[in-house]
Amino acid sequence: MAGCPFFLPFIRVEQNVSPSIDYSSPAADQALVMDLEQYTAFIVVKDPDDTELTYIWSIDNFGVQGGATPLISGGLGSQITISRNAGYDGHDLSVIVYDSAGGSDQRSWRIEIPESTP
Amino acid sequence: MSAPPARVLLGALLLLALAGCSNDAYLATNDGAALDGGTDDTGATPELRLDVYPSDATPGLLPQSIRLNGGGSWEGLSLEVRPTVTVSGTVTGFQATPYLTDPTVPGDDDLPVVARVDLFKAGSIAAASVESDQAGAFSMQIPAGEDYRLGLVPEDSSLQPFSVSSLTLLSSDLDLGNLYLDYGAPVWGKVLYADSSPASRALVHLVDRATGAAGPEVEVDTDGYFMLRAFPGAYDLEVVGSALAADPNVSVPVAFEDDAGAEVSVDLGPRARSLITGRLLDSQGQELQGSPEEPYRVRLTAQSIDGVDGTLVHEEVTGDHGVFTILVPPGEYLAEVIPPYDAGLSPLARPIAVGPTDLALDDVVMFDRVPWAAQVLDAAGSPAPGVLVVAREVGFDGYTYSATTIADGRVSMDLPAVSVELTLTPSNGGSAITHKVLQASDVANLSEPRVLQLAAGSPVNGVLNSEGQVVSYALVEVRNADGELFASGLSDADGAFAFRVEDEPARLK
Repeated sequence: MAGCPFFLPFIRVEQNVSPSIDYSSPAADQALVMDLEQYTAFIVVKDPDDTELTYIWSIDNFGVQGGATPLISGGLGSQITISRNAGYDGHDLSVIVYDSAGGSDQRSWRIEIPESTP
Repeated sequence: MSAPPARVLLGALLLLALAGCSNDAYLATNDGAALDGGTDDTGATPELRLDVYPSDATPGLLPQSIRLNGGGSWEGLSLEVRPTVTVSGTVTGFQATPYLTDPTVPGDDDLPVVARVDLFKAGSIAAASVESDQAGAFSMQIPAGEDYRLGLVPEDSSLQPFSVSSLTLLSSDLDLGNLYLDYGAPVWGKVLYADSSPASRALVHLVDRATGAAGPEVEVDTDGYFMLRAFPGAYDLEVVGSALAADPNVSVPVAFEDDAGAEVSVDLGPRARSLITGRLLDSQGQELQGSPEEPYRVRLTAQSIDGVDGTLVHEEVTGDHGVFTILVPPGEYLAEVIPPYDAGLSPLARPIAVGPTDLALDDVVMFDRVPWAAQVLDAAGSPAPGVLVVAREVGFDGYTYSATTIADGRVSMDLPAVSVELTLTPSNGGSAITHKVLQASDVANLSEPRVLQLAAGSPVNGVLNSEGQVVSYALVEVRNADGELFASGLSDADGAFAFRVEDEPARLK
């Protein structure tokens, strides 16, 4: 082969590490039992290469819930307090956390409202 | 039947149940107020309250509140998160007519009762509620603690009274044994409009004035008649009017001293209703129809209702072509228009007067959120990077918006053109979590750059433990004694938390 071999310089590609939901309340495998007037749910998130995280809380058939608050004191996370609504029974509360590179993690809880709740 | 005074009987049975227990819990009836005080966690007037919500990092622990003394340091705290205990028992009661078809059969005084069982305490998030089964049995979990109230709310309010008792110390699993509700006294009457026609579909229940505990809710019959049962005492009879009829909610004080009970008549005011119609448009003139999942909502909150001292909040969603219709009684209202969160629009609020005739409003135009910017300085006056800025709408549905300051302390985001409360959470411990209030005019005013300075505040820090183990990754909310939120964050892997809190956060009342 005539001529000299030519290589473009290597470009260092930083692999994005997606955020992960480490802990939550309710626990990952539990239902959200709304036996009281209000319920506070939250997640604790780990993302080693990003702190600019976006959290979207939603209830299926009820859309995005606008009252969530990010947390930065003591760790990354987000919390939301939802008021009991009989229509929520049987639906899922979900949260998705995105980092700035589009990586994400999510968690959902089935909402249960006992019939006898005040 | 000659029954002993009902509350005494319930209390005696609670105490009897305790006699067989191997733990150190103590109970008192709620009319024995002298037995019921002086068990503060701290022994002094609390000035701060920490609401702790454990996560699945510490399974088995439940949300609870820890009160902190005022007047001293809030640093280096070692706080005990109480373990979860199980409270169980059986609810029974007197049934006057066990066999309605045979009036000669005497009443039965020891029948199981299906009831809602509530455990709660004032000024705390620790609470639980379960329903007893067909045998009257229940079991519930609650954090150990002091000064709990035990509410027993029977499913059939016409047969047994509801009851509130005290549980002054709960330190381990407790079987309350047989909780006997007796028969109580009747509270009966009618819910009528001003023209004496019945307000059918109204719901009524009693609220105990001393504790705020609510009794069972029943629907009035077609004549507007209702009957509830309760022990002698002071209550508010709460009437929730039919939403379909746009009836107001009314509260009537009720007090009685013996088993004769009380008759109460409730006037829901004039029956006349007026129809309000309107249409929602965006700033381009497009009709705002929404979807079932993300509707545009119009909420009317009564400031006064003609002819009745009551409250009313009525909400409807827009239909085809952004049109809405709302039926309400004549009066003065605050109308709020609330877009879905994702719509990018500002909510609206304005007062409207509703007269005796229908009211057609002009088109309601909703505008986009507006760009807002500020620079955040730390307590020493230097630009503060990494500060989380959260803006929460005042009123409406309390939507929140957030952004983080960059290296020079600047932050920008789109905000609704309404009053918002800002919470500024610094990324380090030099400044306090600081609250500011932006009036609607401040949000929309872009002519001068806004500077927000963090307060120095006071440190609140420590470690959460539970029976020798650290409580890691729990949500911790710092509140004052009135429950106003000062700060929130997470305990770390070692159970440590650290905040600086303002002395007096700015609030919109």
